[in-house]
Amino acid sequence: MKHKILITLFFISNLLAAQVKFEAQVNSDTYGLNERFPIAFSINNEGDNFKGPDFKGFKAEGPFINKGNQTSITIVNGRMTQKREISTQVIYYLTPTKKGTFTIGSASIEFNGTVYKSLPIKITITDAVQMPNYPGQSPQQQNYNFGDGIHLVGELSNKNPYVNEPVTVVYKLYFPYNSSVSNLRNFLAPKYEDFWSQYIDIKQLRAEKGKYNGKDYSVVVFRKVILYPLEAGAKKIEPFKIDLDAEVPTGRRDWFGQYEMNTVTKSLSTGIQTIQVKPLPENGKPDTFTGAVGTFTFDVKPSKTKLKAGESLDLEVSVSGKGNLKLFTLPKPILPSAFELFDPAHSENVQTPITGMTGSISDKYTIIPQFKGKYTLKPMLFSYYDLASKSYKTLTSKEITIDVLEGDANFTANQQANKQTVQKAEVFQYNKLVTTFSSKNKADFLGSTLFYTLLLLPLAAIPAVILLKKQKEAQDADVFGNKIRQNNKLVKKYLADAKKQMGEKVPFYMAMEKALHNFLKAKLHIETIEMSKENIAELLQSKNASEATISQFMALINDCEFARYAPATDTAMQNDFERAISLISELEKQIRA
Amino acid sequence: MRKMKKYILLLCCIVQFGFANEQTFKKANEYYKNENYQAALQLFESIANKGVTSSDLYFNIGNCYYKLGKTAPAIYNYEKGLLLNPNDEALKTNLSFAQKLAIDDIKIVPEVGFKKILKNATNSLHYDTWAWLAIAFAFFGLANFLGYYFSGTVLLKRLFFSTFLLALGIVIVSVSAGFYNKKLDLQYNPALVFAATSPLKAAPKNSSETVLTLHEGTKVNILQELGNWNQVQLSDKTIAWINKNDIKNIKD
Repeated sequence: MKHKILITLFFISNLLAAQVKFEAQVNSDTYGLNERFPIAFSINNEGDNFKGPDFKGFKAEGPFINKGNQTSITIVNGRMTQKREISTQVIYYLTPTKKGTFTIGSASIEFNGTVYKSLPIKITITDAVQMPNYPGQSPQQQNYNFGDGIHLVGELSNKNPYVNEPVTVVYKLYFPYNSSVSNLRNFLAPKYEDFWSQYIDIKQLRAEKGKYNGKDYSVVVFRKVILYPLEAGAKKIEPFKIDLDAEVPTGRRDWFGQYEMNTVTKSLSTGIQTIQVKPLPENGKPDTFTGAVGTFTFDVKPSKTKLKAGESLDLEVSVSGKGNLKLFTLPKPILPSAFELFDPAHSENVQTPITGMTGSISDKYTIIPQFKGKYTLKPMLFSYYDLASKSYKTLTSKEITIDVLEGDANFTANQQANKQTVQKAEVFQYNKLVTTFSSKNKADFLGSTLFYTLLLLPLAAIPAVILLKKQKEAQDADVFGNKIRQNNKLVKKYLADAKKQMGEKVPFYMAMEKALHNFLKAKLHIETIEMSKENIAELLQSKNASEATISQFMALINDCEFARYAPATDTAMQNDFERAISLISELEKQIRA
Repeated sequence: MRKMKKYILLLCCIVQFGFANEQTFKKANEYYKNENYQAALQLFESIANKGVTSSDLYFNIGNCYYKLGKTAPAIYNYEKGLLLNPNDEALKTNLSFAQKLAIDDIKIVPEVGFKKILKNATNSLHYDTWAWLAIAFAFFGLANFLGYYFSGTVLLKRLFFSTFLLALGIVIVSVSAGFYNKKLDLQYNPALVFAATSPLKAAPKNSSETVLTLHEGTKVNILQELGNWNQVQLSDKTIAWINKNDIKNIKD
C-alpha cells in the first residue's frame, strides 16, 4: 500500500507538468547477488504496446501491471475542477545471476501514436549480502521481515590451520521452530580454490535442535566439506548460496485462530569467510619431506629377497595412517645400478570421513636385477609433519639385502647396452696371494736431470766422434810434421836409453849416436843415407847455427863413434851425456831463431 | 770397515722390512680366506700405510671392502690398483662387480678420432718407460752412427745410416709420447664420491642450482679447485661443482 501511495503522490505532482512521462525506476543502484529487487516502468497515462528491455544477467519475473486511476476534485472559489489521473506501472522482479555492473536497456511504450522510451539504468551487483533485503512481498510483509529468523551458516572447524591440515566446513541451516523450510534448490557451492576439497554426502536431511546466537533453533546439516589448504596465506572461501521456500507465520490469525502461514521464497548466503593458512615451519624441515601432514606409518617390503638375475621382484613402498594421503608423493627407492627399475603402480585405499583422510597409499615397483651379487638396498626415509606434536618426524625403513643368485647375465646385459658387461669373467676374483712391493713416492724419471743427461749424451757423442776423427785425419795427412815429431820422440827415447846404459860403454854410445842422429833428422829434415859430416855441417850452417856449436857437435859425434872402440871411463860417459844435452838444447835454440 | 758393517746392517733391515710386509700380506690373506674381512682389511691397510704400494695390495683391500659391503672404498681401492697396473684383468672384473653396487649409472661418452688414438697409443706405456725407451734408442742410434762412420763398404754404411735414422725417429717419438702421456696424467685427477649423496652445483656455492645428485661410488675427474669446491667432469662430459669433502682423490 505504501508503495502505491507513493507512486500516486508522485503522479499527482507530475500532473502539474501535464505531459506524458515514461520512466524506469529502481530503489537503489547497488544490490547483493542474493537480493531480489523490483524495477518499475511507469507512465502517467495509459499506454499501449509496452516493450520491456532485455534483462541480461538477471532472472526476471513479471511483468506485473499496476493501473492507477485517480480523480481529484478541486474547488476554487466555488468553481469545481475535476481531474482524472491515469497512471500505469509495469513492474518486474529481478534476481541477479552474476556479479558485475549491468545496464538495463530502455523500455518503450506507445501513447497516442507516439513511442516513449525510458532511460537505461545502470545497476551494480555485488557479492551476496548476509541479510538480504527481500522485497517483492507486500509492504506489510516487508515490515514483518518474514524469514529473518532463517540463517545459513558455514561452520569452520579451524580458522587457522597449517598447510595440509584438514579443515571441515559444515553448512547448517537454522530456522525457528515455528517455521519450516522446503524445496532447497539452486545450490551454488563455492569452488574452494587453493584447497583440496571433498564433499561428504548427507543422505537424509534431518532437523535437529540447535542453538544459534543463544536462541533455540531447528537446525539442518545439509552439507559437509573437508578441505585441505594447499598453500599458506589468507584464503577466501566464497559464499555458499541456496534458495528455499520457507513457511513462516504472518503474525495474523486465520478464522480458526490458527497462525496464518505464508510461504516465502528466500535466497540465503553464508557470506565470505577467510581462513588464515599457516605455512609449515621451515625450522627442522627434513630434506626428505614431501608434504605429508598427519600421522603415518611407513613400510618397504620386497616380495622376495633371493632370486636369479633376470627375474623380477616387487618392492612395495607404502604409507598408511591419517593425514593428507592423496596430497604427497611417496619416496622413491634408490637402487644399485645393477637393478632395472620400472615405473611404479600407484594404489590408494583412502576413506574420507569428516575427520580427514585415513587409509593407505602404496607404490609397487617392479625390479629386475641384472647381475649376480649380494646387494643392499639403502634404508628409505619418509618424513611427515606431525600435527599432534607440532614437529617433523622421519621414519626409516629397514635395510633390505637382496641376494641375486646365478643368473643369465648375458641375457640381461644385452638389454642394457650402456652398462658394463661382465661376460669375460663372471666370477668375483679371489685375492692375489703374492705381490712385490715398491716404494710409494717414486720420483718421475721423465724430465729429470738424469733423463736429459742420458738422452743427450749419445746425441752429443756424435759430433764429438766426428770432430775427433777429423782431427786424426788431419794429423795423418801431415807426413812431414809427423816425421819431425817422430824424430823428436826418438831423440828423447835414445837419450833416456843412454842415461839408462850409463857405465855400459857400447850400448851407451850406440844410444847416444842414435839420439844425435835422430836429432839431426828432426832438425835438418834429412834421412840417414844423406848423413855425412860435410853435409851436416853445411846444413847446420844454413840453419843459422853458430860455427863453435857446429864444431863442438861434430866433435861430439866423432867422440861417440870413437868411444865405442876405445876404452872409456864412467866419468867420460857422464861428460859426453851432459855435453850432448847442452849441445842439443843449444842447437835447438839457434836453429829455431 | 765400520762403514761397511753399517751398510750391511742397513741392507739387512731393508730386506727384513720387505720380508715383514710379505709376512703381513700372507697373514692378511689367511684372514681373508677365513672370511674375517675386517681383520684382513686392517692388516692390508697397515702395509699400505708403511709407504709401499702394489696393485695387488689395493686389489685385496678392495676385495675386503667389497665383502664388507662398502661400495665407495672398494671402488676407490680397485681404481687405485688400476692406476698402478692398468691392464690387470682381475682388478677390472672386481671393479665392475663393485660398480654394480653403486647407485649412479652415468653414461660413458667415448672419446673419438685422432685424440683417442693418440691417447691409447701413449697410454700403452708409462711415461717413465717411454723415457727409458728413448734413452735405449739414443744409445742404439749412437752405435749405428759409429758403425756408419767407421765402416768401410758402401752397403754397410747405408745399412747403418738407415738404422741410425730409424733409431733417431724412435727417440723423438718416445720422448714426445712420454711428455704427452705425462701431460695427460697430470690432467687426469680422478676422484670418487664418498658421501652417500652429494649435489652437483652449477656454480661453486651452496645456494646455486643443483645440476644433479651423485651417490656414493661415482667416479669424477677433478678439473680445478676453488676454495671448498672442486670442478669435476663426469663420464658423460657433464661439468659441475662438487663439495671437496664429498669426494676423495684416487691419486692421493
